Amino acid sequence: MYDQAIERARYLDSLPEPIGPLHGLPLSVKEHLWIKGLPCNAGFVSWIASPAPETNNGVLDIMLSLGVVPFCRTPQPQTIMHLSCNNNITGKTVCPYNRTLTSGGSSGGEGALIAMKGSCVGLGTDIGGSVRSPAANCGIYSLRESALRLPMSGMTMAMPGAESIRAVLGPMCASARDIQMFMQHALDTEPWKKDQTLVAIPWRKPTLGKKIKVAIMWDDGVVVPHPPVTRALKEVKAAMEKYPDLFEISEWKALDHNLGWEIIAGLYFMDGAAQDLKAMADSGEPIDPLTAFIIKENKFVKDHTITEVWEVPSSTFFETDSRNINKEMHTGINTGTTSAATPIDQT
Amino acid sequence: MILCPVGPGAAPKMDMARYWGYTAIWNILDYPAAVFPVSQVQEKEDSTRGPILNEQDAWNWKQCTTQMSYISNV
Repeated sequence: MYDQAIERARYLDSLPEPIGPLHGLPLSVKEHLWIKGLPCNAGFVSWIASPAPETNNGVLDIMLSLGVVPFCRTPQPQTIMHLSCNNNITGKTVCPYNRTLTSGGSSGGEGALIAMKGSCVGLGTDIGGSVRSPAANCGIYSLRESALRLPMSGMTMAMPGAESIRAVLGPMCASARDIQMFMQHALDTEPWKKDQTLVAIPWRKPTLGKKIKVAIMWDDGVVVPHPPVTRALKEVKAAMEKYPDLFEISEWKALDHNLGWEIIAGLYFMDGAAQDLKAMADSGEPIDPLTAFIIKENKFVKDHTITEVWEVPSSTFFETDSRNINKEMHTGINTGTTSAATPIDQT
Repeated sequence: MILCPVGPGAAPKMDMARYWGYTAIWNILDYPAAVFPVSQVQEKEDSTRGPILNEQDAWNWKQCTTQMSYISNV
């Protein structure tokens, strides 16, 4: 991969003009995203010898058209479904600030590498926190944008056709400005013209009201965060309070987040995790404790028939609870508080 | 916008990242979510809190009170 990267960098250097706004920018890439001609194991031992893909990941193709130089692949956990980063191929990825702790995951390699200044921008994926947990654990920036903004083509994972809960590919960066730059340039290429699954929404600047309304959710009503997390929220609140003309601060009461978890936990492995379990059984690799946690100890995992797929409570949730939350987001009225969020701009 | 924790604590010990609620809720709702760093864990933190809510809450709180010596980002 390094040879390819050097070759591309030399080629870009030889050109009279930059080929795009990200000309020559090194880019790190999460393991399961396809790079043409290179093997892709997606964290499973039995998939190490899989044939190399003949195409690139869709977002990687966009980034290449803008001029980047992909230079390394970064680790992910077995099954991708850990907020941590251990697999039986590359081993444990740890937090650069304390190596007894996890980098977070599943895009844990990106989190650790970017925190160590080994990369300034990387491609991660997220279906339950996988670009956000490593960003938080490693002290970098990331974005889980709305689904269907960026292509999801060209990646290896179990149940690639599953649609009940959508993964997204999002940027992991060294600064907030980098995230903005990534999304701006990526959507400026109008990826929906090549990938019909995407929504044709350009990267928009939000129109903010006179004041930015921020509602603070101190906890989710299920698990109270550890003191350092609560202190961090207080620090952000105090920082905003210094600008009373700019911010209107209120509190957000979480609505039945436990129900949200029960539903999503059932949507993750709608084949009863059959494909994940087979991928591990094929090599006989040890099952990681967090794989056991999310598959075997997760009481919401079961194999569904097609009929059952259409009967799962996701639709109920989206039509009742979710819509209520949407309504609250848009009207700014949140149960238990006097005022809350500003209408959401999908930028 | 909503300002909320990214997870129930700073970076967990190996094999202890077992609560997804703070992030997964935005996947089921398909709302965009951005993460930014604020601070790092300090030697002394104010650990006053209300009553334990449930088993999960008790488990998570135990991960913290037994591991307050760690340094990581929040």
